[in-house]
Amino acid sequence: MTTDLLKAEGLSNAYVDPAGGPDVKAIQDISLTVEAGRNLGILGASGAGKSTLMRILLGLESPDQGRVIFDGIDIHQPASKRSTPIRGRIQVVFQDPRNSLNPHLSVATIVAEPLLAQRRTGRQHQKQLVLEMLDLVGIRPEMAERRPDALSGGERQRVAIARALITHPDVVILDEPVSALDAPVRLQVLDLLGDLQERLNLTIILVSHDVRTIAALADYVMVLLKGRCVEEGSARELLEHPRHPYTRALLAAVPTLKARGPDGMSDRLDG
Amino acid sequence: MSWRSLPRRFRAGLLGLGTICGAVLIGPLLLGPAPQTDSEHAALLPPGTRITIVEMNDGRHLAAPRVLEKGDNLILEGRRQTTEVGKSAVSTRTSRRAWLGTDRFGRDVLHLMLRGGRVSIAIAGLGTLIALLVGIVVGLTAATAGPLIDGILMRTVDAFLAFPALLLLILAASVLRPGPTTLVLLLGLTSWMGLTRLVRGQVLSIRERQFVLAARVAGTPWYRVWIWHYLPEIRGPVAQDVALRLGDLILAEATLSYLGLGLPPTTPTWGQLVSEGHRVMLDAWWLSTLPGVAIALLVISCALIGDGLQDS
Ligand SMILES: Nc1ncnc2c1ncn2[C@@H]1O[C@H](COP(=O)(O)OP(=O)(O)OP(=O)(O)O)[C@@H](O)[C@H]1O
Ligand SMILES: [Mg+2]
Repeated sequence: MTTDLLKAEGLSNAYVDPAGGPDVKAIQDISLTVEAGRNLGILGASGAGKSTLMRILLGLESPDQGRVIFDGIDIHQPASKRSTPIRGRIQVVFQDPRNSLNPHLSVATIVAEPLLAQRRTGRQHQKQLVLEMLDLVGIRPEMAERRPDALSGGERQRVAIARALITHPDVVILDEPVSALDAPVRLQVLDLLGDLQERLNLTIILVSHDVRTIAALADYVMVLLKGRCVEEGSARELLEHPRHPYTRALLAAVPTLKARGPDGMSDRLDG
Repeated sequence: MSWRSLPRRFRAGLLGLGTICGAVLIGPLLLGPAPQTDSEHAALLPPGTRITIVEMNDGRHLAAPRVLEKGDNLILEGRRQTTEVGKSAVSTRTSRRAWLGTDRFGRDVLHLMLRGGRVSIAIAGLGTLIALLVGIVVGLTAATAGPLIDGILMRTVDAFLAFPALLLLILAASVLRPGPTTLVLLLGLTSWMGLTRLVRGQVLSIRERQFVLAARVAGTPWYRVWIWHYLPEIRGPVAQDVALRLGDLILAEATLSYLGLGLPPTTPTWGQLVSEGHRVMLDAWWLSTLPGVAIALLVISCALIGDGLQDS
């Protein structure tokens, strides 16, 4: 049985062009449903509206039209009108760990921040949870007191993942989680994400322009072109039998590709 | 970060500011109470003059640069007048050197400057602190509380900036005739605008950084976002502005004092000393010049610190 975790209905958002041209319609009439345990991949080239959609799903921006319902709560309603807080239940990992980690804080503080916001656990217990989470993402305890600039790119992204998962969120939104990393590190981080997703019972929304990243994690896929959804379906079907010419063009750029299956993902991602 | 790795100008400025602040803080403790040279005969003596202080049996003090014995009398010779007193009326005679000369009343300029410097620096420093606090709070609020509040706050800043700060200050001071607290408030409240703009601009540029967005997604409360994410990022430019602001306020306080709009003259600040000395400039160059140089050194030190911070 599946349950709808997150539902977006008719999202549209336009930006005023600072140069005075017509408004930029970043996304138009996007609807999507995220079921618990089924990862959604959002595929689209640069400028397709991926980041805009992600910001709206995160509640960082209100859409011009449409709404986002998470666990029965309209996330764009002012927090005062909500009966239960959603803080910590939707989390995010950004593209570039150089920008997404505060350079002035220690790794341990960075990871603890979402826990502190929840104001549920005592200090001592928090420390414990942070160390456990760091261990889970493969960061050694002695790194906990370092600043982010004393970490490699891959390690930073692991820290960003630990920060997102520390609250045991229902949904994690990943914005190009590996595109800033070197190829071998990419695989490790994708492996880690796939592993954690199963262990922690997560549901992932993955935003990427890269078909291989999408193939590695997504169970079903939505293709964005100029702010519109041009095709959606299960990852296997869509990646093997694309219908829309734009999807075909995206796939043609990646010669050897199979959809997510039981047979591990590393061998499919070489190249 | 080691001392050597800091920019040279910053080091020079810090050394200057540290020396002056150290001198006015520790100097009066080392030197003890001011010598009782306040006597007409000891007025307007140049730096380095040795002064003889004559204590009378009735407790009065006389002081003069030259004291001669003539029979049963002492002759006290000042620059402008000479007096004779009977030796029998004198209880003790001591002598002190006035390293920086004396003023119109025979007071020791070194002591006046050290004590006045304390007041000048404390007033300017507290004024800067107020400007800093107001600047940070208003700037951060403007940058984060939405366009309506931002608009109101920034129009207020514009309104304040429409008047030259010094003119505003002079106007307010001549109406209010401030004591120390009012003066600090006046200085602070006429100089927060630059910092506000600076803080607002800086925060606007980091507000969309990904670590701030991640904090918003996680529901981090606003005060923690300010303290953890905004303040560490803006402290460099803010420190630079604060150093320059301190120099400005030292000058502003001196200007008000010079115009007679500063503190009451019980503890003359540097500005008051300059003003007092300028009336007797030809007779006693040191009286205006020395506090003037002290003000200049302090302001230059602040500017060097500000400059150095920009370089680093
Ligand atoms: N704040 C903004 N103001 C004006 N236009 C914007 C703004 N944000 C995005 N846009 C425009 O909206 C469109 C979609 O942008 P968006 O950032 O969502 O694309 P994207 O798919 O994330 O692209 P990329 O892969 O390059 O990050 C683009 O044309 C962009 O120029
Ligand atoms: Mg983007």
